[in-house]
Amino acid sequence: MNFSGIFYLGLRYLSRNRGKTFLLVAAFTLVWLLPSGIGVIVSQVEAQLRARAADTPLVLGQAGSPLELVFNSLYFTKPEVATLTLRDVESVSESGLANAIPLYARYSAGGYRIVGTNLDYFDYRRFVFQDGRNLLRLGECIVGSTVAERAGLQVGDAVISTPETLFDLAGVYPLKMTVVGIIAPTGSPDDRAIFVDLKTSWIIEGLGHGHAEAAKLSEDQKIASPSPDSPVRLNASVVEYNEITPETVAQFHFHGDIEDYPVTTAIVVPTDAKNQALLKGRYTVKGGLQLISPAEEMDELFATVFSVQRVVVRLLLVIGLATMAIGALVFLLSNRLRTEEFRHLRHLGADRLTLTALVVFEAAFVILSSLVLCGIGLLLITRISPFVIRHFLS
Amino acid sequence: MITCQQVRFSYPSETFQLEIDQFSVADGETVALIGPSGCGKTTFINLILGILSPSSGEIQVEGQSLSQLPLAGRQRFRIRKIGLVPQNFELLDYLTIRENILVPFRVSSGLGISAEVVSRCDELAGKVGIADHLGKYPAELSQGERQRAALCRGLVTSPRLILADEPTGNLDPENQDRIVSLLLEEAGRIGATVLMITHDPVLLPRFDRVVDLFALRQEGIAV
Repeated sequence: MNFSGIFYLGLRYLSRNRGKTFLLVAAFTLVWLLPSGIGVIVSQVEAQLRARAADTPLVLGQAGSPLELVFNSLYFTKPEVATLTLRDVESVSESGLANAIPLYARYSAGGYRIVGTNLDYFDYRRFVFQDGRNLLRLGECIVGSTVAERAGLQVGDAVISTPETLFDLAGVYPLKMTVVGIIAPTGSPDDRAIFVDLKTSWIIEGLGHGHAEAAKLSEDQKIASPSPDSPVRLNASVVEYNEITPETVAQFHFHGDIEDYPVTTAIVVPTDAKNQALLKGRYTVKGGLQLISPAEEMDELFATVFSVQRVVVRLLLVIGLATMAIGALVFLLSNRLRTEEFRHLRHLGADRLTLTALVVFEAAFVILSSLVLCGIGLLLITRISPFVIRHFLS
Repeated sequence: MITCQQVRFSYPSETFQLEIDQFSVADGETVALIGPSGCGKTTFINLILGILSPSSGEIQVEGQSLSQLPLAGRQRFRIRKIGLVPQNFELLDYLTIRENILVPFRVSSGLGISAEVVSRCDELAGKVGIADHLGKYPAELSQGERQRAALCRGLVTSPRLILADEPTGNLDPENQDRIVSLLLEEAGRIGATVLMITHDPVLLPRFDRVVDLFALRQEGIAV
């Protein structure tokens, strides 16, 4: 058998009928790539979610959807979760069983979540500064590496919080914050977050504010004059500061008890396994709050995901089998149409084995090409999907 | 070169039966095979090619009984010894004319494409006037040009026996003469035997011998 001749004729046939060949290769590639690609993506999503969850032993939050609570704590999404108070968080730390790190992830700036927290969070996540320093005073922020790169931010630049709504004149005013540090890449949602002190996040919400000192205001800026038994009431002509500077920082203040101020979640780090069990026991009976393990939530999430994936993959396999059957039919019909051509080749001296080898070569070429393309596709998915997944999870 | 003894052949589903008691063609002889349509000329060519096997009797080509050879051996023998110029060109539409002419070298394990072979292909194409069409596909050529390409393919292996099934059927008189001249000239040059089916009485005088297959079947005589 002349193998080089068979390859030559086969390749010439396929290249001359490149439209049909392309369709067949594309169809077979999808047959292999879809189920295996889904498998790769799901396993990578699982790996990323589980890694982050494994780094976070417990999460405290208001009763509600545990999954939303986990995503708000770990990925700073779902800002609408019900809040708990700082007092709730501190009660955990005061119990001596664990350290609780509050998080207030509700507002954003330029599409990136502003996360109000305390310095314990930076230590817990073992952040390394790529540039700048840690938070020292109100109105400062530290940005993740992705935020810095994409927004072109450097230490000393300013970030302005995004107003919740343009149409609410009494709503939250944007706050201009100074970038004092940039965190080295962590490969986690922290890269896409802007970290501020909890109090700064409350100022964004309007729970704290700064304005000119009442005693120094002119009479026309007061509704009533100060007196020992009644507070000064100021009218709208008083300028509120939208930036906290060394000159204005002293004018910023909070009304009411800070202990009652909101946080969205708290990361709870028990001192040991026994205390973790004790804490979990307490919060199963504590009304209004829930203390959950992100790892356990991920187990439940992936049990659902995997069952859905199994159904999807089975459907894809059925579609794949149908596609392969259609592909086989195309080959059979094509060979029937080529009866004359094969007869010509027999007249010219090709034996039955040569003709069989020619058809097998063409089919093998289509299948192998689709497998190679599938391999390339899987390689690309493996390389690209971590970034895409990170983007969607952040 | 060719000897046929008591050859009988019939198609399973047809009443047609070919019966040739004795027939022979000498080495280097050129024979024109004539006869009315349906008398079995193409069937006879296919029997000599070994594509069909006789129900009984024996056909020998160069002293080799084709029916005694296994299928693969028969095909190997055919590709090395016989050049076929078929009636309906039998060109592959996905190959260029040059590639079509060289197809016998692609399907045979014993033949390889060398620069000499390609040069011979180009030379033959030049002689039949299709040198400018070697890079084109069959669909881009006229009937006559395709026939000439098929002739080149039949000659390119320098065969010992050339079987031609009405190779001038689609050509104008000028080209008919040109093709037959080339066929006989090439056959003479390489010492090949020619058996050509034709309906054109003008061409008959150019052959050493004319055989009427219909008469041969009727009389059952040696020719």
